[in-house]
Amino acid sequence: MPLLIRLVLGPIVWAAHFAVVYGAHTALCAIRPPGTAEASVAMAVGIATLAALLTLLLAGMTPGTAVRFRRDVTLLLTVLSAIAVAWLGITVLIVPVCTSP
Amino acid sequence: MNGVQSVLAPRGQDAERIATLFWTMLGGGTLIMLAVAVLTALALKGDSPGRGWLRSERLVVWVGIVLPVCLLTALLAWGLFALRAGAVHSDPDALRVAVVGERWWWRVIYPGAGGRSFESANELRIPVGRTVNVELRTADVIHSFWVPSLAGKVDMIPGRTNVMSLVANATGVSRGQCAEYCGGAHALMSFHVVALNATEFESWLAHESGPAIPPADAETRLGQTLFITSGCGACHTIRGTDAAGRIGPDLTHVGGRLSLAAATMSNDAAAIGRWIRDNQHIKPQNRMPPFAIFDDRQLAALSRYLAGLK
Amino acid sequence: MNESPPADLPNPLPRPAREREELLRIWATPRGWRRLTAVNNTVIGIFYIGMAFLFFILAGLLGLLMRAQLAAGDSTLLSQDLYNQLFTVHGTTMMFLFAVPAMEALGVMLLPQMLAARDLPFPRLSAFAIWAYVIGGLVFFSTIFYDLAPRGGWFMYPPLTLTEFSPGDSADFWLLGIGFIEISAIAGAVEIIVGVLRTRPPGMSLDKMPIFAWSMLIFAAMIVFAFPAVILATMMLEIERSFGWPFFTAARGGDSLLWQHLFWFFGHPEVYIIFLPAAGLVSMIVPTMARTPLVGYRLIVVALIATGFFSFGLWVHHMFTTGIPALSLAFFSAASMAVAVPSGIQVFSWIATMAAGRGRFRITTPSLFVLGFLFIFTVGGLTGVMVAVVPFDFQAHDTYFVVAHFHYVLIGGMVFPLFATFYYWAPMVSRRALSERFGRWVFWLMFVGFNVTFFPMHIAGLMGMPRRVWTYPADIGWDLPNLVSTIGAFILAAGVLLFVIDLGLRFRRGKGPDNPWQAGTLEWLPNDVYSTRSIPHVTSREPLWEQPGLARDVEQGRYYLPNAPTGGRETIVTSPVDATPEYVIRMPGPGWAHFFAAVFTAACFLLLTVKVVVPAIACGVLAVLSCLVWVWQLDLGPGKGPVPIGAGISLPTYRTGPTSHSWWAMVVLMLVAASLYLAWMFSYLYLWTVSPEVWATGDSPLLPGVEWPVLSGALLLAGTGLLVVAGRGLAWTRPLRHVSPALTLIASLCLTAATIVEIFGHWTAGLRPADSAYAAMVYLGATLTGQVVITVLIMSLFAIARYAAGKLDNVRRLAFDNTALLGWYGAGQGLVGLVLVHGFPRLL
Repeated sequence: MPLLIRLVLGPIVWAAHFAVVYGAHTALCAIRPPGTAEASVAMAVGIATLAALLTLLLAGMTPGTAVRFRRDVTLLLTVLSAIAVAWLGITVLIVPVCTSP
Repeated sequence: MNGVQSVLAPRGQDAERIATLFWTMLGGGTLIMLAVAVLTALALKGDSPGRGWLRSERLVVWVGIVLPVCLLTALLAWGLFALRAGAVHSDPDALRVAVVGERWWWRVIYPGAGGRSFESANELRIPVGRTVNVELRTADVIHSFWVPSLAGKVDMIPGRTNVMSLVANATGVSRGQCAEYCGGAHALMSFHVVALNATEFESWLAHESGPAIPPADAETRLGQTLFITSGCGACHTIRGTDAAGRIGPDLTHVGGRLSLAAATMSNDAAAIGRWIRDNQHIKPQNRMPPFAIFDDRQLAALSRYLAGLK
Repeated sequence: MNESPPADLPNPLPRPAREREELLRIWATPRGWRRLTAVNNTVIGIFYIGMAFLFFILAGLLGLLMRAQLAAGDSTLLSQDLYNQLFTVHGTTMMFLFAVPAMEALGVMLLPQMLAARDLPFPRLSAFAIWAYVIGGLVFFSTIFYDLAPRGGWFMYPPLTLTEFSPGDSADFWLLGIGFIEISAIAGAVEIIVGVLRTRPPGMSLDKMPIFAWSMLIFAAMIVFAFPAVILATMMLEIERSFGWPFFTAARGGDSLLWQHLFWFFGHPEVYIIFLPAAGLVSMIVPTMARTPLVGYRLIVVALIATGFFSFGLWVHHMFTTGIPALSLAFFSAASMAVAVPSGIQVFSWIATMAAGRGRFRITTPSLFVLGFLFIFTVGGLTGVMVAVVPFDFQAHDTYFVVAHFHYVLIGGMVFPLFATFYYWAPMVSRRALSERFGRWVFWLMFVGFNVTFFPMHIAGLMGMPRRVWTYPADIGWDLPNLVSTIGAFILAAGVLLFVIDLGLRFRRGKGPDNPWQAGTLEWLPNDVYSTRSIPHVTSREPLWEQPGLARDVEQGRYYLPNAPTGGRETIVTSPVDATPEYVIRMPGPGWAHFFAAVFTAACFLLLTVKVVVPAIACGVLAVLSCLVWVWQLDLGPGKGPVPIGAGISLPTYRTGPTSHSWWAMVVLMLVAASLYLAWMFSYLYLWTVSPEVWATGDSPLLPGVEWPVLSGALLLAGTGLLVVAGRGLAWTRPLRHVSPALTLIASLCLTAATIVEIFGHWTAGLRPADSAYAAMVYLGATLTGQVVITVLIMSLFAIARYAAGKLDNVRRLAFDNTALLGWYGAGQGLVGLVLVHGFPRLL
């Protein structure tokens, strides 16, 4: 079972990042008065994204197995997850925080 | 009437931006589809020059991963910028109107002079070129306010007020419709948005905020009496009379609207008569009971009275 | 990658004369009435897929009725109320009664053959899931005939589906009927996960697994995480309808959007749950028709896994127009882009494989359906990317554009591969293959009909036509696209009808021609009711291509387990990653208990729907009793001890602990429970962000004092510790050993008491569940833990009974181990719940 989990570590990091970013935005917008949440949301998303990318980089450099198939799958999943995390991260640079569409 | 409710015949700022987005994506999508079709055809064709590079993992890596990632990054960024551009405008000059979704019609609340608001129904009149912030609420279930030729849709959700910004670029009539399934007569919950130039709009607004025109002849006076004595006022308001019900649409200027029953039928005395007597067949499950109590003469009087409330 | 095959085959020739007869006797399908008791995957698998196909036809007929109504504007062929029922039942049936069951059915039917297992590890669980689905599904569908069908759409959004706006029982038929079928789907998922990971043939390490097995593994794992969200949502809605707990009522702190979050947290992955197995099937058919191994196997595995994950980040995709903040929408738009990449990987892998073949790609009926799938699915994928762009979705959402999009994805992505599957795998279960001549007609009718039906819907949607409308004005330009769609629908239906005729003419149960397509995977080995005569040692992905003589050697019984050494149904269990043989599992055969368990469970749910409470409870009790009878016959113990399977290998016939299939199934079940609880925790926090004004805070009188959670927590910890001691106690000598069952009982009573303390604490503080959304969430959390501990209590009584009967000891201890596992899980869940319910408000 640990072997199976290691295989999908990349997407697990993506999922954790997604949950943190979405949760932080929703919660901060709900509890902070309008106009004060922007900076904290931007910071939370930024930190979470950097942390996730760093984790994925580390995970990518140490695939944890010498079996070619498992190594390749682990690596490519890490790469795809990193792209997905980056896509999520850039949203906060473009779209205003806490406002209605 | 073609195009009156079309995404592809935009008459508003948001709708135009989205139409451009759509046509571009359609072009890109068509190219991708053609590319896939050509590659598949080559793959099926058997030995042909150029088939060699089709048969390796390199194809999958470059055409299946790298290329899509680049295209999708660009598309995502564009979509996000469009999302930012379409956000609610905080224009101090904006007109604020409230629309409340009801099963199965639209209550429209305009700001009147001196902070007193007044109501209309199933028709929204707006000035051209000016931002209109529409406050969207619901009285019962979830509805969705959608005028395709002006902008995208926004839902009306219990306990919440959503705001959307509309800017009409040209005068004219657009048709809108409830886009979130709301049970029963969901299909028959439409409305019109009429964009007027600024002066026309102001004079319309001044007239619309006033009381109803008093009946001018014996027949319409009979119609008004019937309206009051038959209990219509329990649900409907006609400003300037004793009818002050809040359950159904405000009928103060019903004769001046483009349609009846949430854009289900045309608006004239004959249609009003049919609606009063037979509304459950015209719009099943609507919450107005059919009134079969009137004889033909009475029905004609009532209908003419209402049709005259311009 | 290719290991050298063993020098000598595991078992010598000649084989003893009676071996095959014994296998045939052991695996024989019961006859007559006793056919209902059958559990063999080939028998119930066919039945399962037949039922799913029946629902496809029925729901398709409803679709035709809808198309007839919409052929022209202002039509009054059908009434508004009937139409609203039709589209609700059409959507619900297609999603819950056709698509997911059809894929589970293929899993049950094909997986054991592809893995050369005699059967999946829990044959009666499969049979239970199937019967529950058949009964529940038929009753649900029949409501359309009695004007009793739900009218809330397949998505059942409250408040429209609350009692105020949907009085009567029709919404309850959806909630209880579908809730119950979701349970059946989860049962199937448990079977598939454990089956794929543990019953592969020796040597079939993860990198040699057929892609279909990979896709079913991910399919089942997604069910485990996605379905509990909708189960929680249906529980909440049914509770609000029946008892007024205000989860979704804004006036008392609830929120109708909570339903949408939970429903689409299930609903969006659902689309991929349906698509992934179909993609897996395509990945099996394409290499066969190209006569070459799949190009980019690794990449496809990556694509399947990535889709499985990313699809959980898309649910708000369905809520873009609800007015939630723009940045939240942007997150989901980004995830929608991420999920498009794996689809690209798969499409180009298939194209590369077609090009890589020796000679031309063979154009057969299955190939045609695969090519049709490729075309339709690509179009659907592209429009999917379009609607993932938020501003465009503001226009397209809830219009016929979306109807067109998802029919392209679902019919293209699932139905076309399914028909390819019917034509491709029919020879495996039918004496005659389906007709290639008919097949081409079927394909072209369906392909043309499909596009004529659904392509114009894009246009209708862009012209402003919303979904779920029973009629539309004749004068605004929607008539033509709608008329074309209706004509197309009847062409599509003609194709399906022709298929049914072909099926009637040519499909005959039995053994078909061996490997008619010259495929490379194990399901084309010669087989019979017992699956393959012996279980091969696999050294490559396409063993039939790479290991010459494999079919003959397997059929002669020269590989593993050519006989039935324990005298009953059995198969080899291997390790999850490298597939080294670990033990021989003894499996149950036909029986009535699981059948009655399914019947009574269905009866219980359906009687509850129509509010006949006492008989419902009686049926519930009978269902539990049937389950107990069923499991009483399992856990056979070590029996005669290790048995030889060939090549000098002797395998034990019994395992407990983390290597046993029973432990794995229990872990999967705990993951289901944990997903359910996580969905509840999300709901709790979500409703707080919506309605902080109804929430208890640290100084609120509605929050019980600290003594309550401390007492409850202490009881949970006590239960946990007692279960540890009870487990050790099984090893003690008599009479000291008799303490063990007593401790088990006390432990489960502790857990039960902890839940009662938790509920009682809130009650004495004056909180009532119908007061507010906060109260409803608090009591719901305790109820969820209560469900687990009641189950633990029943299981511990069962374990004690087995101890008393001499069927539980330190070796033969599965009944205890499973009880302890669930007990520990329940205690953990309870503790997390205490921290949230009593800690979080104190932070406010």
